[in-house]
Amino acid sequence: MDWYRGRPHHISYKWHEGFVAWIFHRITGLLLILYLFLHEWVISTLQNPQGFTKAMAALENPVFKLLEVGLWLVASYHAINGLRVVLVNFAGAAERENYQGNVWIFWVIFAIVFVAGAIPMLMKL
Amino acid sequence: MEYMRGFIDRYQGSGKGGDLSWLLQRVSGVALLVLLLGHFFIEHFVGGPIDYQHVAARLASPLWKVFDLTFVVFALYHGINGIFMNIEDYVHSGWRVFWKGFFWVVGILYLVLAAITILPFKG
Repeated sequence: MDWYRGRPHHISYKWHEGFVAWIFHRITGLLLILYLFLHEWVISTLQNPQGFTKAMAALENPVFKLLEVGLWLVASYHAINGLRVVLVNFAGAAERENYQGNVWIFWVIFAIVFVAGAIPMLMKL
Repeated sequence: MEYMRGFIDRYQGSGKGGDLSWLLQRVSGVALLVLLLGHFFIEHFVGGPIDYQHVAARLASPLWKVFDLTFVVFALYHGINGIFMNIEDYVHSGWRVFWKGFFWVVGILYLVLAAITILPFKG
């Protein structure tokens, strides 16, 4: 990243737990809005029953079933980290002495929720 | 925060005049969590496979029309507001106006697409 140093808008980031959580929040957010656009586009085929049935048949492909697990990963991450951000903003979860601990609690909760949801999805594959 | 003003103006980050959209992002985010759980539950745990009959039976009811429209309005707002935050943080040239305008148009088009899909639906 040396080329970027000293440029007008250069900001240095520290790679601590909260920063990693934040950057993933942005990436997952962009993926989710992209998914929303695609999802809405597919659902708009409801206006024509044959079109909807055809679209749903295409989504039966195992590739989409696997992508669905990816969607669950992205959505559960964004939702649970979003709750953490709300707690940081409004419930004093950013106090220096408990901040890093809270980030780790979040990672554990996220891992549990994701795995709990992913198991039934993978079993249906 | 007045002492930050010069800094914020210079970098034109999302802290510039964005306090309302910041708050609404939190509010819509929490609302989406509730709406998403409802949406997820109804699609995956109630009724059989997701086919036309399954979706049509639900979407023909006015209550679910209201639910789905509320859901898509919050989701579009939250998502596009999130894109705006990214634009404000990373685009510092005249392209900022272009990209914001672009996503305003995309947002309105998708809102119209949702409305014409959900509202006139009779099953």
